[in-house]
Amino acid sequence: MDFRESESITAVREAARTFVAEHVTDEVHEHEYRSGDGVNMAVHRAMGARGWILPRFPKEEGGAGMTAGEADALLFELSVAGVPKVGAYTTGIPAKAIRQFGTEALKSEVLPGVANGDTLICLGYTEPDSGSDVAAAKTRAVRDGDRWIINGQKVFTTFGHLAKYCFLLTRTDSDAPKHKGLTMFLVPLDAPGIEIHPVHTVGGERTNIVYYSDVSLSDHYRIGKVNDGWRVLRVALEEEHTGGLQFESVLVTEALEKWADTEGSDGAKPLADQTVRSTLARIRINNEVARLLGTLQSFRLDNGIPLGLVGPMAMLYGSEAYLENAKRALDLCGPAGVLKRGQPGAVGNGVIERLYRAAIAATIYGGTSEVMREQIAARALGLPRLKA
Amino acid sequence: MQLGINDVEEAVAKTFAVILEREATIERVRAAEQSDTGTDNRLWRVITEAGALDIALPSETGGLQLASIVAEMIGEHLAPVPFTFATCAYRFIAGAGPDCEDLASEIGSGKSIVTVVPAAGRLDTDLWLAAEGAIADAVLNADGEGVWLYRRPDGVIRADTLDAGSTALWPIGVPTERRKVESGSRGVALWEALQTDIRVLAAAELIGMANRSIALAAEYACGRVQFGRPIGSYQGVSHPLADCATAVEGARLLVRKAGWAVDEQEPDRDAMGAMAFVNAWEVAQKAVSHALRVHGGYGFMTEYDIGIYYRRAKALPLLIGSWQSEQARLGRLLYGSRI
Repeated sequence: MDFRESESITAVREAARTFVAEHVTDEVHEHEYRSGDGVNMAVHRAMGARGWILPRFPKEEGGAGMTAGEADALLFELSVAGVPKVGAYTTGIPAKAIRQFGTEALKSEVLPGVANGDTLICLGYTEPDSGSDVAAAKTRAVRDGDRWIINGQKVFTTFGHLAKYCFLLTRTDSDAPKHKGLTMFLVPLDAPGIEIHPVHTVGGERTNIVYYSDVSLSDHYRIGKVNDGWRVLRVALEEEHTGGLQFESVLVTEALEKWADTEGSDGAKPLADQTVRSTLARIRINNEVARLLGTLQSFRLDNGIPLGLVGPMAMLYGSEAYLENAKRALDLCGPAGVLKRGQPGAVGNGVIERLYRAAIAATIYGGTSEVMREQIAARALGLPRLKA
Repeated sequence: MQLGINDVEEAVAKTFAVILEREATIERVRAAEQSDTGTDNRLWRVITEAGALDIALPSETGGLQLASIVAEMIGEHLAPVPFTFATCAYRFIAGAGPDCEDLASEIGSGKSIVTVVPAAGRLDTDLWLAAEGAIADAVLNADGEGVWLYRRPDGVIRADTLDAGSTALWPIGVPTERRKVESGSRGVALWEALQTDIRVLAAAELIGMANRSIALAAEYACGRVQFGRPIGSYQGVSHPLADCATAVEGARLLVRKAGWAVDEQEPDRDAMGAMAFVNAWEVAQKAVSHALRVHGGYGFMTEYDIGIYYRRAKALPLLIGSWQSEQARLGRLLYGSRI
């Protein structure tokens, strides 16, 4: 194995840092902290102008023609600079499925706006009664001539209040087996019958509950075949398993290292304490391993090597490591660690406090750690599955 | 970045897989534990004839990373051969001054086995604990004057140890012939490099042990039925195994990266090696203990192979240092300049 980073990836990192210096101001950080939107439209459009919303799409389709390795490096650099990237990252997930399964008419209507940063697409999978068991969705879509009537409720529709469309998982056949009665739609969120209610989270992120009441939708917005939604969704879910939500772990590390390298009120640097150095070492190991698993995943994607279970492993390790790092880091800080952003004396202006609250979500979004462990146990170790 | 298997790596992996599959059977592992030296001499001869030592020397195609592939396989099979320490000693001697050429060729041709006593192995001034020392003809050790080669004194005895391996007690107090192989700042640098080499290969061996332990546990968990179901379907059994499998996958990458960093003489190679070692230590420990427990009471019986992994994975890193000394070393390598 050769671990030397390619020049093209180094160039992507440099471009990302230049972008950050130009576009990601204190106001951007403050707006994100106050709103929890996960997206800043000015920054989002500036990313779109560079093809960075859909970095792996070809340039002629508004992307940047990047490899998986380059796109991974881009997302990493933006993340560690604190760029609100949930909007870009999440919008990219259905974009890939639309490109693969959507009609030409739908693609030309939607994808150019997605690529240039005008259009956000949120995800409508999770319901009050179906989270990990995503295929148990009950939101109904009933055919009505060349239209569909949609009724139901979705939760965790993050940035739904800003998005133009929702990538919606519906049940179109209640009699078929669970996975065979699902259909995917792209729902314009300004359609009559849609109500969006905010939900606030421990991590400060704003998400939403979305109610669909007799929403009438043209068949034009169907993605893939009727009752073949699971296949479409799997493409999207695999994309989500490529992770990217745990890169902020590096921000925890940087803040902790800076704190440890600064003399405290007793005149000593925390780094002089072996316990502090050991904890930092563990955090650095966690980050290194998480990055290596993520890099292995993009390397395999770029070279047509079967992924195996690297996706779920990268996600499980990366998100658990992020959470563990945030917990250990905050423990070291003592009383000053609990102070939030803007408070005098807050460690790293409260960044570890904030990321401690945010990190737990990384072990839930895109599949909980337990869902990842189930996949690894079954497919990497061949253990029998406990089927309901 | 090239995180696939290249042709040389594939060839090496295949060669040693065939040898170890055939020769390093669990019966021979058990027989070696009962032997005078804790070593399978025939296996060691076959492995060295296949070039196990020479591929570890720095070259266009060889080096520490390649050796780490062999070390991992040796760990998987618990192969009772003096690979990890002796290979690192060979790398040291081959890189030492022209005075050592004769010694290097003796080792390379299989005439001599030289191993290493890390600082922690000096139990006191005249009694050393030498990993792979039961069959070694000489050991390397350093003091303030330089790095020395100590010829095997009379009275070396195989130690009765947790791993039932080839570790031996060397009575250095009796007149021992010694020869200086390096000194000065060059000696310090080479000795430090040797410390990193040992940790990288030991980490690789630990990953191999952890990996095979998980496989043994998974196999057992598929066949063992309790409460009417294979126990592998219980998440209390399967999820920790999934965590271990994930940790092993990641730990292997870190070991490979550390080997690469040494081969490429990257500035952070010592820190990388220390990280890989500390991580593999933890990962292997977790894996072997969960894997044994998956076997229930059977795992506790000496007839079951998992118990050997449980002992070996615990003992190997301790032959290099204590947990706290390795933590201190890693902390110094990462943050020493800022304290």
